[in-house]
Amino acid sequence: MMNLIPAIDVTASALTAEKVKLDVVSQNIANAHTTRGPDGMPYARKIVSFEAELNRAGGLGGATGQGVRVGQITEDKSLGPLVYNPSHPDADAGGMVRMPNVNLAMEMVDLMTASRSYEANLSVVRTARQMAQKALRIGS
Amino acid sequence: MISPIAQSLNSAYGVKELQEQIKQAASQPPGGLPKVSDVEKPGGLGPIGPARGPSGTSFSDMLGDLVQAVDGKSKAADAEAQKLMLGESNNIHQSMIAMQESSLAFTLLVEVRNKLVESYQELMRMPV
Amino acid sequence: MIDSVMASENYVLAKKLLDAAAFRHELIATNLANVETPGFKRVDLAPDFSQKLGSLVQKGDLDGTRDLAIQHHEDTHAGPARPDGNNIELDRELLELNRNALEYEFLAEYTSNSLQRLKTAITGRVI
Repeated sequence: MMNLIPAIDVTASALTAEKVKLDVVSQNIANAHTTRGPDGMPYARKIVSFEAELNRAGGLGGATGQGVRVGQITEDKSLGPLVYNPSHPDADAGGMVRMPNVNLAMEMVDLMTASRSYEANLSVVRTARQMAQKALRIGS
Repeated sequence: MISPIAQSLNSAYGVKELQEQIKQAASQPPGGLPKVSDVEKPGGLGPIGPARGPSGTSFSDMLGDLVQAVDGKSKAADAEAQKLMLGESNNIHQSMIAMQESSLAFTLLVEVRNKLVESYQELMRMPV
Repeated sequence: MIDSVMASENYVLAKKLLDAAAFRHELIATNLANVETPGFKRVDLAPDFSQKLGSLVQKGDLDGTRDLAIQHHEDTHAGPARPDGNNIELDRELLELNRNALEYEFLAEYTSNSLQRLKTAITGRVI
């Protein structure tokens, strides 16, 4: 397939990876108060880790553009805080409820970072398209 | 002598033939001039030979070079476009530049041919 | 004959710089894609590229400019690394993206202009 925009594969991989991260962070935020999941345990925060991947060689001199992909989505095994709430259906004998280990402030920061990266990569595509269109008008 | 050259001038791709014709015509003295023996006197006209530039290149050589250069440029443009089409390269600008250069080279060739035709016709109009 | 017509110094320079700008765009795209990859270090054009190009042009060695290699390397002047080892700054990278795009467009415009001028000279008609 024709590859008219330089490094489009790299940028596409970044968009995919950032989207996954956005989804996972949104899921964390949505489940910040889920004290009982399908396995009966409070929701465990999920962490996305990225790793670089070598794309096909392309462009000048065979330089490889390094794309990015989601390496792993791991569960954060640390325990969430215990909160005193005797009227909660999941409260134990002492009236304490184990909340999920989701820290909303941290999740919001992650959300913003992922979102900004996503936007940045979109602007890479837009800019590359403009450059290519300018090149197409050479000579006229 | 006249008709073969006129015919080849009229075909756009007849430049190679034109080149051959010019070489031949230029290397033979045109008919109608006095015989060589009448002319070979000191101070008289020598036989007409092909015009030579200062570095020894004849006009037909220059035309030949031009044709080859145009050919080379258009081959390069084709190669670049093919690389782009097959996804082996993603440099649009190289392909565009190659295309424009080959089109320019071809325009140059066509203009040279036009000027040759014009000057030939001019020449033919001269009363002897 | 054709090659002497199209061998003006600036024209050859512009073509080479276009290659460099396109390549630099790929590098910047790689940087922006990996802004969250742990341990990733910023890449950019080899710093001696413009220097070498400048000296070749001054010597008048235009064929040399055509053969000059365009390479990337790890940027030693990049900022400090964050805890995860990544040293790419998003805002700065976006700035480089835009600047590079502008350079590319200028070079494309210059090349286009040169070709138009040549065409006008050859055909005698202003397009």
